[in-house]
Amino acid sequence: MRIILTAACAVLLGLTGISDLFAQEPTGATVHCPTCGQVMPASFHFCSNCGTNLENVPRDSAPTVTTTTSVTRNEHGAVTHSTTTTTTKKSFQFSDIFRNPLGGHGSALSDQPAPLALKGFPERPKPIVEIGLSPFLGSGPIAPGFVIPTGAVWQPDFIVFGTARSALQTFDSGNGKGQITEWANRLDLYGNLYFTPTERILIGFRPLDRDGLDYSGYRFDPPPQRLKNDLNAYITTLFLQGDFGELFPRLDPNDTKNLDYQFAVGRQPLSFEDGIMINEDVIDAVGITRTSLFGLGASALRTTALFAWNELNRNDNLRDNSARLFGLFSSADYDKATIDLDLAFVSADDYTGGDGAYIGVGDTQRIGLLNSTTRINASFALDRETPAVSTGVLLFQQFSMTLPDSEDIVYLDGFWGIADYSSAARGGDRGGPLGQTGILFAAQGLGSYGAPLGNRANDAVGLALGYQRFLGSKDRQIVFEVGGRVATRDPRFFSEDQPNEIAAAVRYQMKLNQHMVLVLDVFVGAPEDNDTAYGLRSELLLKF
Amino acid sequence: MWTKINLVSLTLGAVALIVPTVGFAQAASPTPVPPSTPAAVAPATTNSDDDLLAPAAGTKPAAAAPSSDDDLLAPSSGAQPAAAAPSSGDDLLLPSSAGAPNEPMPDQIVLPGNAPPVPKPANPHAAGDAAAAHAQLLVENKFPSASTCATCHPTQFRQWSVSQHAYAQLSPVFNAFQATVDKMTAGTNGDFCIRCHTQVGMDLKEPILISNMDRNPTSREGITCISCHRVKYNYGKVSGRFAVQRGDIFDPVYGPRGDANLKKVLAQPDKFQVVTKRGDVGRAIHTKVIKFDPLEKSGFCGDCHDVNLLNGFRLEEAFTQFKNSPANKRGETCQDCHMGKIPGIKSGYAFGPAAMVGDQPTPPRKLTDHRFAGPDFSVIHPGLFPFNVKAQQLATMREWLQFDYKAGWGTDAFENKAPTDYKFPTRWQAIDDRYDARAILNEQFAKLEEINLQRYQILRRGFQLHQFVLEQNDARGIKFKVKVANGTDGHGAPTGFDLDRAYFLQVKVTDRHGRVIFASGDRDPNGDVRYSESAYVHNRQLPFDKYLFTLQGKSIVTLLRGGETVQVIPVNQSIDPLPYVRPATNADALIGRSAGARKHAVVIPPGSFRWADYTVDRKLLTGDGPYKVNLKFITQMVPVNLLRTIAETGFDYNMSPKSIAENLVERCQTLWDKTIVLPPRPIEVNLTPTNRQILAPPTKPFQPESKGAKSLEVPAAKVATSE
Repeated sequence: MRIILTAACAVLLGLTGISDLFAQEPTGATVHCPTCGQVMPASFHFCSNCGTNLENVPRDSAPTVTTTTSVTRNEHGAVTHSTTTTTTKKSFQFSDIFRNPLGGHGSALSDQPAPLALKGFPERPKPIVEIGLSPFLGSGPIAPGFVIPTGAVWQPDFIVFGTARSALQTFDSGNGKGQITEWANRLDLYGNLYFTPTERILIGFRPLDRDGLDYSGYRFDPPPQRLKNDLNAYITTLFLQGDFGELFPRLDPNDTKNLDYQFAVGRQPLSFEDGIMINEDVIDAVGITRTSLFGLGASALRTTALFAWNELNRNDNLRDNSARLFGLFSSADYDKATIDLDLAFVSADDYTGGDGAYIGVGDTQRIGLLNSTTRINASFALDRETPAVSTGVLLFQQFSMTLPDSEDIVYLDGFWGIADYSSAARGGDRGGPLGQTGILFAAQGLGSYGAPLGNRANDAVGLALGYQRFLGSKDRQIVFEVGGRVATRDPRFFSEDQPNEIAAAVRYQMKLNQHMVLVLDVFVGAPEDNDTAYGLRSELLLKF
Repeated sequence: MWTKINLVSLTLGAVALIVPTVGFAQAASPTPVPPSTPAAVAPATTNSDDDLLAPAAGTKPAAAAPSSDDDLLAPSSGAQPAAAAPSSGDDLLLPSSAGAPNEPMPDQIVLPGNAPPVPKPANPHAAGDAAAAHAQLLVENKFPSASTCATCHPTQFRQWSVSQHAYAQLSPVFNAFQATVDKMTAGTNGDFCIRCHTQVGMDLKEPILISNMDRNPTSREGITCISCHRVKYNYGKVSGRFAVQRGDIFDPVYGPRGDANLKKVLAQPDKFQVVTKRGDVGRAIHTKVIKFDPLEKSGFCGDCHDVNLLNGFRLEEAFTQFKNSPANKRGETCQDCHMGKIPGIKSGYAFGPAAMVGDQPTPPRKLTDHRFAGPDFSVIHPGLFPFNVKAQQLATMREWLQFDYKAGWGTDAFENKAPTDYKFPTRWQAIDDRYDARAILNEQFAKLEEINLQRYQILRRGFQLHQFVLEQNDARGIKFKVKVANGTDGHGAPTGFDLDRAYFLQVKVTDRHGRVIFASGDRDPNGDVRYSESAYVHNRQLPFDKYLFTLQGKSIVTLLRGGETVQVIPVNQSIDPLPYVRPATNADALIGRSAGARKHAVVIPPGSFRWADYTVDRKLLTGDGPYKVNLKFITQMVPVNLLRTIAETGFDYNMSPKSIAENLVERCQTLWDKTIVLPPRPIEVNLTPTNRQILAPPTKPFQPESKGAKSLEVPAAKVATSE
């Protein structure tokens, strides 16, 4: 099986040209014999003239041919072109290993005229349904609209948009449950009705899956093979959002009362603290927000008060119909950092899980050229500890840096879960709070292809080291990642889904055209005391 | 099971067949850091006369402008209708009274066909085909050009002509930015951004990316007269997505005062020679001014100056900041500070006739200033901007681009010495044309200097140095800090497009011999400061400036993993190789940001301040004291690294990134320049400027060619005030 997987990966990498990335010595590289001066191809290990050992002699990289085209105007205004070609040899340096051979552009600005690149400029892809007085982000007349009794001017427009995902994938967590091979599909379909650019109603469906747990498609393995039909018309999103001052302008005709209270009410997804504290796909809530405030010495302060009363999933990803969530979420931009302070309280019946209090503090900043995000989240079970709510702390740290001469990213993310941290709300398909640690810690959100590494934070430490490489342009990229996690408490209390484990993954994703993306994933893991874990998948993503 | 894996593998392989092979290009070798270019160090040589303790070396303020050496074309006064300039002895620029058919080029302004005097193309080179003229006439019937309005509103036209509103669409930087964002988002960003910059062009369904030289003349006028005065409703914070009413010159316009004065004009058609019916011969005039109060209220500015993308990204917050400001609580409006007599502060309004119908002024009333001075400035050929009716009549935009004004064409100094075999472009072979062009350019230079003064004053109002504190100066090192203040309390400083405003403090510490022992805010060879967006810092060719004090906001994107990073254009391609701009699928109102990108604002809150701290390590001390600290607060329209990022889609007018960068750096403004000799013990120095200092003129001209240009400023004595 592993041989087949390896072969498949090799074929895949070869066909996609990714193997070119590993070519270290371009054609034409040479080596000079230090004894006799003979010049030979870099692959020679001994001098062809005098037999000197060349193993430790540095290689010269291939000559770099630079062609410069100058475009100038003569005194008549006519354009003239002149081309010069120079050949230089570039000696290899250790730092070259970290330079992107495809992305480097040099540092100096070009003094050559840069005419408009009209050819190939993308036209606006229209939404599949576009009804209203104005084109959605398109050129053309905008209708004046009409005044409603509150004084607001409405310009109704309705569009339908969304994404469709289809994946062929196989996954084995190595825990003895066996391999799952499937074709899975997901459709996120939205209808957006704009009254104004600040007031709108959004309705959304996921007609091909149920609660993010069962997806329409075909199950190849384990037997029996069968077609899966999870068609449904459940409304996953339906909310109204707006700005109080914009909705009722007659209350403040001179713009002096500051009624800029933004609000949203209805069924909506929510995420706070990078999805650590709250990561819900469907929740019924109402919230009020103030933005662009100057309090606390901040350059911009945003604060949101929120109440959620329905469709609340607890830390165990299960819905608790008795649960109510109260939250106060703030974010402030300071000179050097953005500080988040998020507070939440969940009230629920004891027998369904019990009450919980949650606090999260985040600090995002740049330290020189190093990006840093630090998050400290704590949860407190106010009654008893249950799978729905428990007491613990999660320390979460992300570092990243852009490599020179490129846009490539290297990142190092780590976590330390102390006791049993629990989230205030987690959707049915959202797993645990560690998804942002790495692609190894996140499920795909499509079918049964789970997170290669456990993403619960109970008494464990872990990290992920990754490298995102852009292949010439940003619409083609490959990600290499290695990661692992280790429990910090008695293994007798381990969950079988959260073993000590190391794993490695590769993701390749590229834009195929104006609407489609191809995503390829492969991973292999070595869970302690379990079989090898592995997964392989290809996904086509369609945007409309 | 193996069968299943093979099935998957083969599927992957089949899919992979469509993936192009990745090439392997050799990286450019790192190059040694070249010395700073003259352009890069130019601001450092700028000096002011407000040193505290020691005179700073530098140049003297520009001498008083001598009179122009070109008398062929007299500069038009602000009170003169642009289209009816008095004769100046120039037989090429004035409209002919004889009846040759009006055949403008596509990029020429056409005045209403029945509104005398109708300028005709003054030279055969500017004549175009009839189809283009008809096309323009059709547009004129929907969206009258500012040049049409200039006939009766010459003062407002002249003010607007040099404004940021007028420059909005002409800017090659803006257009490249728009094109880059659209390209990065597969076209889904559509007309967002450019909708505000050319309401007319977007209404006419012009392509998003096209040379301005190929746009309709009215659409290239950017935020033109009708962008505000043909708006029917007070839309609110709609990010520019509102309707401009269609209609020709006879249709109603919208004004804050209604049409009391207009009725007086219409009541005397013989005196004013106006006509109100299509087809009649005479001076065409709008038949009604609909009273529209919102034009005097801040909310109207908020139609555009609060930019929220439909995916939840909050790009600009000027209006929301204003609503949270003390100035708003006092009842002040945007217009009070930005359309009043003195830019940047509530100072009352001018008083005078709003229109000159023929040579008859209308009754005096409150006048607002339409120059809207702000941080943006022109980097394009002065024949193209400011808008100038005569310039448009003399030559097309493409022809203007061929006019080498820097070489001195059209000046005695050049023409008297030019070799007889000097090759001029066809359009400029005639010496008279060159002199005509030079005369027009002298007007342009004067207007550019005028707006440069206003820009300087409003920026000095907003950005101030208030205090210098020396905390330590001994053998262990030097520690000091500078208090940088927001001199206004109407909004943050900066505001608006603060993601890309290069506003920074440049600090140099020198010893007794003038040797620089410490620098922060210095520039790399491209002209960027040494922060992460600098290509030289990014490529590890220059060290990161850890003391940099900048007020430029950070454009932040969320990475696939690894947190967030700064990216010049906030389109997230790390998570998604195909970013789409669609309505946010969450309630973005509650988050205040989009899912994968945000702005990290670093503005100084209204009326507040921030300290810039510096430490000179003892290892850097030479022992040759006393040491001097030179402080410069520099404002630049956009940072150079933005050009680098958007260069891929090209720049209009065939400009190069470097040429634009040089313009940016040369024309940036050093708002404050202070030099302090450090005593051995801690001191505090008050740097707070007086009102007189704030209103002082800049110490360097906007561009060297401006020297000798006559100011067109209306003498203050002729302007009555309302307060």
